[in-house]
Amino acid sequence: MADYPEFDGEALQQGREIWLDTCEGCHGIGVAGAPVAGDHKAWAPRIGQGKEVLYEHAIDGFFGPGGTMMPARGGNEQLSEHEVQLAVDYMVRLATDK
Amino acid sequence: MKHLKKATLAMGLSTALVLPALVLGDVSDEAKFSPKQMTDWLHLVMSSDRTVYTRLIVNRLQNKEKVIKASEHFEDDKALVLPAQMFRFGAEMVGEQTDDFSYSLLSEWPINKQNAPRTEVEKAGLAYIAANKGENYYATEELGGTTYFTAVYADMAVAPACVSCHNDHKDTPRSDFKLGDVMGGVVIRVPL
Ligand code: HEC
Ligand code: HEC
Repeated sequence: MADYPEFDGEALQQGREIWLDTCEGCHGIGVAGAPVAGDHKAWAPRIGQGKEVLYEHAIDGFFGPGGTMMPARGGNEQLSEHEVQLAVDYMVRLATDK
Repeated sequence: MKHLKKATLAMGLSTALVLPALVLGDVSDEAKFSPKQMTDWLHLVMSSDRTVYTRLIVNRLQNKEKVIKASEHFEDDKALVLPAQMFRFGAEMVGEQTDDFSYSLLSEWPINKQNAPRTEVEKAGLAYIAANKGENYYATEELGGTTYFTAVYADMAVAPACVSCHNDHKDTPRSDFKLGDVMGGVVIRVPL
């Protein structure tokens, strides 16, 4: 498995744990058409929508135009909204980190 | 030069005639492809069809519009055929028509015991793709006096329904699948 960087701050640490547990399965290598974590180009237009949209899409799930599906809370109903947001923050950081 | 003439001839025919000409003529022995290229291409077609079925039929009609479900008992339930059944029925039809290649969707944790690996290469291949996500497995094996090139490609849990249905199924030997996990593999075999 690829090594995913750790960032300073408790929120990003927590976000990384949650992300590794629930989101990496798809966003690690792009399963199901998921944008790959750390792929700056794939993420730029998504991040451009603003964090609120990303949070909403990650919490409620959404369908892309080609029928791709991001499942609500990454398919893990145990996660609270806050936990999903932490995981989104971590993935956004991966996509913007130089 | 035989080469050229045939190509020109084929180009002069309508497209409808080109395919039969390729099959009936001896053109087939002129272009050489490696078995790996063949299985990679076959797999690309299969996995794309499987993805389209999952996205545009199951995701759209079952998960998004909620107008129809996919069910193992599709006849009784008047439902859509499951993605894996769709795949197996296609593989069986191919098996009736040719011995040139064969394929199947297998798993180390099969709901349908028929889908368990049998040969050493199938077992090694499934173990390899599960341990090395994103990679394929290739090997040759001898079965009944014939040598085969065998390729194994991962099949992954792409939607919550894959995980919940398998984890909860009465016949499943494994109930801790997560999204993104390798659930099994497509095995494609060509005789050498
Ligand atoms: C089943 C695989 C899968 C899992 C697991 C998964 N995602 Fe996704 N995710 C996708 C797919 C597919 C897309 C792209 C959908 C599209 O735009 O077509 C996506 C897109 C996204 C986006 C971009 C949203 C946008 O508006 O562009 C975010 C943010 C996201 N996922 C967050 C998460 C988080 C956080 C987790 C873990 C809690 C997670 N994902 C787990 C498949 C997955
Ligand atoms: C509603 C239940 C259901 C859903 C949803 C479902 N499957 Fe299956 N799956 C089955 C059944 C039942 C079989 C056995 C089919 C057969 O060969 O008769 C099967 C077979 C398989 C096999 C072959 C090994 C085995 O278990 O027999 C794989 C691999 C597989 N499914 C993966 C997936 C993936 C990936 C998805 C999501 C795209 C998925 N399944 C969705 C029920 C389901």
